[in-house]
Amino acid sequence: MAIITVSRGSYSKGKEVAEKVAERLGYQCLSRDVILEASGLYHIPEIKLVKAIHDAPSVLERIRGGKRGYIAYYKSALAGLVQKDNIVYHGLAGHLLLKGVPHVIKVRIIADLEDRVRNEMRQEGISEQAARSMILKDDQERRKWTMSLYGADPWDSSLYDLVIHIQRFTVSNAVDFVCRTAGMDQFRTTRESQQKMDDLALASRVKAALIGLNADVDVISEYGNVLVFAGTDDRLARKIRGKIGSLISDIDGINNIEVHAGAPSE
Amino acid sequence: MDANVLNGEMILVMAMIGLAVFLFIVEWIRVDVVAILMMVSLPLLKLVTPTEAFIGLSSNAVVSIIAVIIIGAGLDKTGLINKLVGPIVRLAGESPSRILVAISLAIAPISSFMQNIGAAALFLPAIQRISRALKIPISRLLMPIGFSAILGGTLTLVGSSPLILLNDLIIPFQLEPFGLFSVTPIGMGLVASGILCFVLFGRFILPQGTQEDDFAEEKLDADEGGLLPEVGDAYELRTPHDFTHYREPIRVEDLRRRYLVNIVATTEPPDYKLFSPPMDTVIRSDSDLLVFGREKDIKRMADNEEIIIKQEMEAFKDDAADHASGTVEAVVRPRSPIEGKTLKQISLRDRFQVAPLAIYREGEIYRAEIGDLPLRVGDAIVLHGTWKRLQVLQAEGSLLFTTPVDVETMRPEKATFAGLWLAVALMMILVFKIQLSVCLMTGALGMVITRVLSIDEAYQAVDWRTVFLLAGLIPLGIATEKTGTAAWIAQTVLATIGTVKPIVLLAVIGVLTSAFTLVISNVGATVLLVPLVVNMALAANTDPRMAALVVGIAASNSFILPTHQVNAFYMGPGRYRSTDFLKAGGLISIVFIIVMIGMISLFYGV
Amino acid sequence: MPVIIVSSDSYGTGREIAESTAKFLGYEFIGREILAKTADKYGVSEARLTQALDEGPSFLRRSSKIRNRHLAYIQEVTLFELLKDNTVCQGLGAHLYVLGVSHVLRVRILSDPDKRINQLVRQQGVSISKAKKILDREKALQRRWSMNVFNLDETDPSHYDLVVSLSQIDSNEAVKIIKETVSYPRFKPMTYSMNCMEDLALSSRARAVLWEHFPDAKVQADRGTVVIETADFKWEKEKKAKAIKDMVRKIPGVEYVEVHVAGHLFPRGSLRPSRRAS
Repeated sequence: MAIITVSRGSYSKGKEVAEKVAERLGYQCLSRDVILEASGLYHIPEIKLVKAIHDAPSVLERIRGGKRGYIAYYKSALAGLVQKDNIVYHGLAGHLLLKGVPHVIKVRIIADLEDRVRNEMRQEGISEQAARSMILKDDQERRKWTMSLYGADPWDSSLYDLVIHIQRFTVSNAVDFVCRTAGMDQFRTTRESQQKMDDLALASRVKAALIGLNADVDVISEYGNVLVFAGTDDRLARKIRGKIGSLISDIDGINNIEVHAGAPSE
Repeated sequence: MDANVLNGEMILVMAMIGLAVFLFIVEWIRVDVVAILMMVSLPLLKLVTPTEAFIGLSSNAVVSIIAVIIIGAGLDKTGLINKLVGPIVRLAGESPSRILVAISLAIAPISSFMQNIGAAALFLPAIQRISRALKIPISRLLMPIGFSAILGGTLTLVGSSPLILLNDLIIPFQLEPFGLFSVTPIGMGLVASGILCFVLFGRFILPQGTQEDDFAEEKLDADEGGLLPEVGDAYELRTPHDFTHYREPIRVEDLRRRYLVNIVATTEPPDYKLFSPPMDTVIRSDSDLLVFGREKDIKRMADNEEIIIKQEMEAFKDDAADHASGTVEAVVRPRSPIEGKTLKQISLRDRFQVAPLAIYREGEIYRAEIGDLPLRVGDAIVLHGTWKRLQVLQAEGSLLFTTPVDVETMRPEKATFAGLWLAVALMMILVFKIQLSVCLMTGALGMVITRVLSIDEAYQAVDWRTVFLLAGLIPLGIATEKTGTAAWIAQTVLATIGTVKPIVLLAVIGVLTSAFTLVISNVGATVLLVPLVVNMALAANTDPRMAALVVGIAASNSFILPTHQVNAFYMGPGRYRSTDFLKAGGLISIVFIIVMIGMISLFYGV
Repeated sequence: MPVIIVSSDSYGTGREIAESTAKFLGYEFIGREILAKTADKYGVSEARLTQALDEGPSFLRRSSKIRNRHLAYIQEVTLFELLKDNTVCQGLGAHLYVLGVSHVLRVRILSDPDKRINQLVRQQGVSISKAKKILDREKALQRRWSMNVFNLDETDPSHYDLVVSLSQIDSNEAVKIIKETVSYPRFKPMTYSMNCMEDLALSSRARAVLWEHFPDAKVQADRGTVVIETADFKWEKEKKAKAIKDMVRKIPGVEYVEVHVAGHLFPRGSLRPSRRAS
């Protein structure tokens, strides 16, 4: 009765933990499925999507904001998939993309660098040096990605409900922790929290639908009342207002939609 | 004129003009601040003497405009104008065209003795009332009347800032000053042709969109108060006794955000009624709610939150009745202190205990999170509250109400005095030929002495933006003339285009001024162009006074874009879009220039 | 019989969790109460000790020296307390200097930021954005403090076995998680891990004893053998080594002392007690 996001570095046994948790709780386990879903929904090549959500944006992309579009698509697909609840997701940035939903448990699995290097050497059959540099590069990329898009450090433990240092435990210990947390009252899906999840999914769908306008907008929703924030550019707001009707026509569940200037207040 | 050679000073003046025009267009700083910047930097650059830099503040134009504003405020305070308008409207009957003509004819002369925007603000409530009562879409009335207010500014020499400035600007050329009514024939032609345009072509150039028609029809269904369809209707609901069980407390704010409904009153046991409850009031079990909202939203809320909709009013039967409370539309008035602030910042709800329901702006309706929208002049806020509370809000003066509530600060008994002093001022101008500023100031002083308005109220009424805009740009005009820049430009332009007929020259000046006034303010356009065109006219053997007059009048030809204060102000309440102005304003602008040149050649025989 | 070290971004929250964990497990709670004892033992003021734990680094080397001395005393007392098993330790910075001991569970508790912000707003009457700023500054200060004193970033989760955020998990559940965790066999003390703990304690005691005269000394201990590294000019070398030996030898449990004096002047002394790599 919850959504569990497992964030992990490569070769830190996070995947194993996630799969076992899903098995034990009888939840659906998601990772790559989200990419397939997003590429199917928005007709974009899988490979481009993978690149966009995995690599940190280049300088050029940061200016053009090209990556933002793919992330909006990805978020929309992810939110749509987890909306039905009882999900373990161990793909990218779940803790950031699903922020603000009370029944999302955000878990991070960390491991010592040396252990991860050893794991990778074993699995890939490569030298220690190669394994180490690949892991470090991957971490760096990850960090840059979250920093540039969310201004948050993925290592910052306050983004998670639970951080487990796998070194000192076994995988099954970690699975115990996660399952027990999932059983807590605080993470039970209630009508209100499901409403929040639905609103998040709706807002992400609207945002993804507006990507074609090439505008960096904030979209929020509360009980189906969608607000699009167009920033300080009046012309942009007008442009969105003019086109929004046709873009969102196939999205269900919108009760009211308005385009405002400015940004959402926290 | 001596042969002019381009020198360093001239280049410097042109650079300053360029800077001013640039700042006018990009609006990084407000136009009046640009004017003050000119006032200060010109003497620093030694382009004018310090005395000349500040001469604008003591100019006839500035004194006149202060006096005109005070006289206008006095007329406003006594309700004299409303009294005059009433019968006119009654005479017009119920035909939309006749009403349009009547109000336009009424606003034009009033606008000629007040600031245009003042007249426009004065008429807005009346127009909204008529629109509602007679079910005429407000978009068909507001734009023509707004245009008439602007055109009315060309009826007298004190009708608009550019014309007030004119006499000051032609002093250096030793030309004969204009009289108060020198422009009247031309202005009358302009007003008449403007009204005629709307009567004949109104249906083609005014927005007639289906939205407006629906709007009018739906209003027929709504009850007497004339509620707006987007805001919905009043419903009474009751929370069950287990409403607060097993859930997070639900606050008024939550319901508003989730369902876009407005709780305007609740009951608290045993039988206390809380009106316009603060946003963080927690909804209790077993209490009655008076809610405004669309039927759809109310039903959604009732289903989701398990609240019961009552078939008819019970607890709030008396309070919801028309005599006790109601919904009004209030417009953010020009120069309102709340401009740029949000409803939350001014804590409207807590201070006045009225509930804002929606905001109309440029044809858009905002219902969600309206507390966070920075307000603009012309925004129409739909408010609900008891009449008493609304009266208090109206008296505070930052909003302009559709529905007039008798507010104590009005002094109708002074109407005679107000009228008398206006007449005295006019007499002095027409019969005794005393200088304009002296006459007008006499009238203003008379109103203060006879307590039509107190001197403090008079000071408050003065719009310092206008004063400094005028005073600050005058030295720029002086510099342009003194350094010979104006003459140089004029000669260069004439040398390029060759000799032209006077009438063609005037037409070109008219078009040029119209273009300038759209991007830089009308005052800016006047100050920059008058020295220029007078020089051109002298060189081309045309009457320089007429050239200046064309500039002064054409500076009011600002209809294509909603940049003129009056247009910007009417945009919200009229639900206009920019394209509406383009269509109607385009026609009026062309007619304006043709009529202006025609009238000038007719009356002054150029 | 393990040792639990609780660290938190807010002293109050950490204390609450640590105390209830101790109560729940029937363990002894070791907190800032021991500072009084420390003050007595070393003849310093208790207030200064608390200050040393709370205050950020200062620009003046002098005051940071004084702080380091106070911290050395606190470490010594804390480590000897932790030799007793079944303890919950909190508020003494132990997570930064008890490293590499397998029966120590190190837990980081993150307080609910909203709750703390509300608290600040209520108590100090500041605005929400101001309260956020205060918290951010506090966090940066903690990080600087730990980096400065122990060269470790205490906000880095990889220094802990478990990080629990209280923004949704409530404190009771957090305590239960900790209880479950310590029941795992790998947190049982074993001879080796007990030895590690004792080594740390011994080296910290030697360090505290030497502090007054040799603040730059670096101490390592391994089963009664204490190795001290320091630096001085050549001609002082002999004298210094002897003085150190005399002081350390008096400490009970020390069997053999070795002093390495490097010929250069500025060694990097470490405040953290350590075991001799053997």
